[in-house]
Amino acid sequence: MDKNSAIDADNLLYQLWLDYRNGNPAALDDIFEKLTPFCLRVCSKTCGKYIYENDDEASIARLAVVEALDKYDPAKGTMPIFIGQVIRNRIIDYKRKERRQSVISFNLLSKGAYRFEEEVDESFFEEIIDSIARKQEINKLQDLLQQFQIYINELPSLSPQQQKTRQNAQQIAAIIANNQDLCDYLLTKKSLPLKELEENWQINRKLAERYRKYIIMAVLIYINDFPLLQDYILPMKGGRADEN
Amino acid sequence: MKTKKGIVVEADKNKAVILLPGGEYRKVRTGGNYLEEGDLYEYNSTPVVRYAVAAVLLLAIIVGGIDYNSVKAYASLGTDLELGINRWGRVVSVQAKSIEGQQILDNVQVKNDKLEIAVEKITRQAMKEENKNPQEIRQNLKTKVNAKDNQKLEENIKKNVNKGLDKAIPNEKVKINKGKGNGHNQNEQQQVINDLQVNTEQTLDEENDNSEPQEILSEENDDKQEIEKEEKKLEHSEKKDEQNEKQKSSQNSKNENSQSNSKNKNNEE
Repeated sequence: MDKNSAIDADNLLYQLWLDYRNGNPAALDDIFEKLTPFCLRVCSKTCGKYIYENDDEASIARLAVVEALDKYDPAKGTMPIFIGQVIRNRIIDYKRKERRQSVISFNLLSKGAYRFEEEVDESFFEEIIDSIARKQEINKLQDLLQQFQIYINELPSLSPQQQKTRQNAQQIAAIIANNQDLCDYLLTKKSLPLKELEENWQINRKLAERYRKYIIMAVLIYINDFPLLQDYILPMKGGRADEN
Repeated sequence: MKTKKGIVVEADKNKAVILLPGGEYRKVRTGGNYLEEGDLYEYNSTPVVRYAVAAVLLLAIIVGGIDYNSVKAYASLGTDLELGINRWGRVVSVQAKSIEGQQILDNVQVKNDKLEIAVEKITRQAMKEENKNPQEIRQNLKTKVNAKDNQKLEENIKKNVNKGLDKAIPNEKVKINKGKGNGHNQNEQQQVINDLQVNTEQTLDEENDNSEPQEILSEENDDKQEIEKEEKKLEHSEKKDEQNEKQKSSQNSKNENSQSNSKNKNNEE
């Protein structure tokens, strides 16, 4: 998560908390709305399985949020991490209680026991916050790709296997993204401007046709605000891609 | 081991799609581990499978190479040469046992050739250099098999050596027939025998010299022995000709039957 947006989110959350402490009940709904993805992710990571909004663990998490908002002291640290710690502790308590009450020993629980009881530090919650930010970018990208009838699960078979070919495809994407006319052509006609690329940029037409969907995906990441994904797609941006 | 951290862009129970640094998308098996979109996934970038496959291939090549060059049997051609043969019937080693053998080796390359071809080459070279009779080579042929219970291999080797000798023999047969001044088919060979017999009888009738009956008889006996020897040789070669060149002999017989008829007329006259 880039620093500015993280700071903005923290500030917003802090404001909401102040509202809540001042007796504004509507602030609690806003806090839940902001924190639900985070709460569910903390529950999932603690339990080792995907948690849905109507699961018991999600209800436990909501109660834990209210408890955390009542107990929170700015001197103790940032709010999301504090709330995350409280949620995790309550989930662990719930799991232990569940284990004590169950007659049959569940293999899943016994496996999970080792996972959910292990101690974690702040980096556990920071990583969850970053994951949520990446997921938001991925969801936006998925919506954009659907307009071009491209699906993420087909990208492994559509991407170039060789590094050199991949770099060539990324260069074609960069050319399109940096040229307004080519970009407009792509967004309006939903196809690559192959003729212009071949004539004006001496692009290998066969390569562009073969990896058409990969190039479009790269252009979409480049022209939209996806700072986290750009690091992985476009090494020319000076990101941390090609880490070997 | 090198590990890369990729972003999980899609995940379900058992597999996920990862976006790796450098823009590569890859499908991975999660092995039941819980993953969600946005998580970081540590990916082992060392191509273990590729290395394993490369190692297996290298081992196969090395073992194959060792096995290819491993001599399973020896075939001695006369007293001059010894060929080492591998399990696939190819010559992998050649040793000259005599100066003549070395001379042959200097002029012919047989390593890695199939045994049949190697024997043919060597036999032709031997006949060129030493004017040896291929029958002598055949008589002096010995095979020795290294491994136990390898009768099949030994039989196969003998079969291939004979094939090679047979291929070298037709040229020699043609030379013999040409030396006699006749063609190279059965009828003409038989005619040679007839001529010899006829000539022998006429000599005896004309001379009728009692003073030297023993010499005449001995000459007659010598002639007969020569004729018998010739007949045996010709019969032997005829049989082989029949087997190998039926088509050629039938064509030649058509052409040369007409020639032999004209000769018969001449003889009668």
